[in-house]
Amino acid sequence: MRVEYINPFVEAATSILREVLQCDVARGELYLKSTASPVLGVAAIIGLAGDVEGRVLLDMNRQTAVQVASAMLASMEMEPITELNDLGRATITELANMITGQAVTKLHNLGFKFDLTPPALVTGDNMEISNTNVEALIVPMEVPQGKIEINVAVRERG
Amino acid sequence: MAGNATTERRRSVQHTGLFRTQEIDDESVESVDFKMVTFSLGGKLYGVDIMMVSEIAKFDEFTYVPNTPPFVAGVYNLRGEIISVIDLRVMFRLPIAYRRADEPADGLILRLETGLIGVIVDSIDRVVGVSSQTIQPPHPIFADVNIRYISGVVEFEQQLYIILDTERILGPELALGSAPGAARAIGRGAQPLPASDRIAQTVAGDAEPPASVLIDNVSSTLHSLTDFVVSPVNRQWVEQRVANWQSDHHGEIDVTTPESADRFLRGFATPDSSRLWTDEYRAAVAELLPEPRGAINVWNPGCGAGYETYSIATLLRSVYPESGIKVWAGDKDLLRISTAPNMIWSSEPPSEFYLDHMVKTREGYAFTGEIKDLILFEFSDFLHGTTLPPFSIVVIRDVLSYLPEEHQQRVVRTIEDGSLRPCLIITGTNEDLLPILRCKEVSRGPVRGYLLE
Repeated sequence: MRVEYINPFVEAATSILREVLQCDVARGELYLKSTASPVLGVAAIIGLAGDVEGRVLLDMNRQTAVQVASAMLASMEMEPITELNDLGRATITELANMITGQAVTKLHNLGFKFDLTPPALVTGDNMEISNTNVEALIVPMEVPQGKIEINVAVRERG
Repeated sequence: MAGNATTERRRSVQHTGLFRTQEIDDESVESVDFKMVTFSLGGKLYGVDIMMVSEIAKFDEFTYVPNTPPFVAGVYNLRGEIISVIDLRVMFRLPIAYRRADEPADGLILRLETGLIGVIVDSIDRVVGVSSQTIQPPHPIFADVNIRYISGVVEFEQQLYIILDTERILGPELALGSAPGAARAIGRGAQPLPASDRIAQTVAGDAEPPASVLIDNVSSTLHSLTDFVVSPVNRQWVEQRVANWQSDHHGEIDVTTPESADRFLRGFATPDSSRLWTDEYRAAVAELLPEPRGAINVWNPGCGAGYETYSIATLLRSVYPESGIKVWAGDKDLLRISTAPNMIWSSEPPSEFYLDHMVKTREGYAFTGEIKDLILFEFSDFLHGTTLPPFSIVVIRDVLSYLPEEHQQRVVRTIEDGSLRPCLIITGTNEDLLPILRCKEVSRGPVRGYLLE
């Protein structure tokens, strides 16, 4: 992945998570994954188009998703959830939208033009995601609710 | 086609004359210069040129593909790459040895000009090295296989091995139907190999020089202390280095610590690495550059902090002011590559040449936007697969020597599949590409270069 794209995603993930969860966020070591990689259980996908093609995946396990959604709802003075219902799914989707949106804004300021597709949420066990010949950059984030991985796979349009 | 093959061979021979000592040639008259992987099919022993074999595999779980000839066993997922698998026994109408349904089938993955293909055999035997001079032309009674698929027959330890011409069997001619018959019955497999291969196998092969035990020791030590991998790509340098080291250290090879490993490897690195190319190095590269034909794409894996990337980009811009140029540079070391897009010199760069392509900023000298726009730095591990536009220049200096041999093969395949021909490949000064890629050496001065045609 193009070097210039890395920081905007890392910064956006850190600042958005810190803001919505109101807590300390630790970033793990960035690494690359080959195309087929397992998904933790709940994954919000946002497609990217424009100068590049690819997608951003916000990936976490079901328990983390419920707790993160609850924390976000609580901050808006809403009832926490106990299972991943419609409200929970919408909340996680919105989180992915916020992170990707902020990253794309930062990229736009650097002169890269990205368009976003509406997010989709995928849940299930033992899922794998594969893109042909695009490796994924993994930004692992540790929050009190658990581990969230931002998985970015984009390539230049050639 | 035959004409091409001959020219290629002649070129490599000339080449060797230029760049190697004569003695290896003389010595190889009776030595092992043809290696084959042997296997059994319907009770007879067969062999294929080891240079054609990508790997030995156990196939299980094919995916059956409808509407294919009966000898197509299906497609197989080889670590993400889908390859076709052919059952040679069905193809040659041989009896198929009984095998339990859940037992994986023995087979080979062959690298043909058209790509990878898997073949199923009864069982893999071993690797046998013979002298190509002992290979005899095929005779119709030798095998159950149509003679035009046989490139020769050779005896080894009282066993007859039938050498198959894989390109003829599985290559593009398969689709075209009949081949010219027995006139070309000895395919290239049975010919004395191009001299380049002969060198590779004499160096890496069975006829081991006396220092080989030492080199094996050094090789495993280096591998545990550094990422350096002793392979045919750099074996020549290592042998020379071991010899020199012995004379300097009274016969002791005391490479036991990281410091001594670094000392041992001193001198391996290409002189112009980790800095912008000097005028001399750049001039030598310039002489090797091909005629411009449209857009020029460069693949620069393992670019590190980006010095060589900027060097090649500025050189190309000055040589081809009109052409579209793109340099795809990548490294899996995030720390090093992340500084590459914004490289800054606090003092003046090493050569005035670069000043023409730089602007002075408050922090120091930086390359102009025009040069930066030619380059795409990627945080990337090319083992995960690459999507590159067809490239005609590869700058891969001191990268192959730090990769295990199977990963070197991946690089070779990426170059073979992704390049326009002719493709100029620049390797490290002490790296030899001939053992792993059929190409010709075009080195000039300090620059080690190869041309893939």
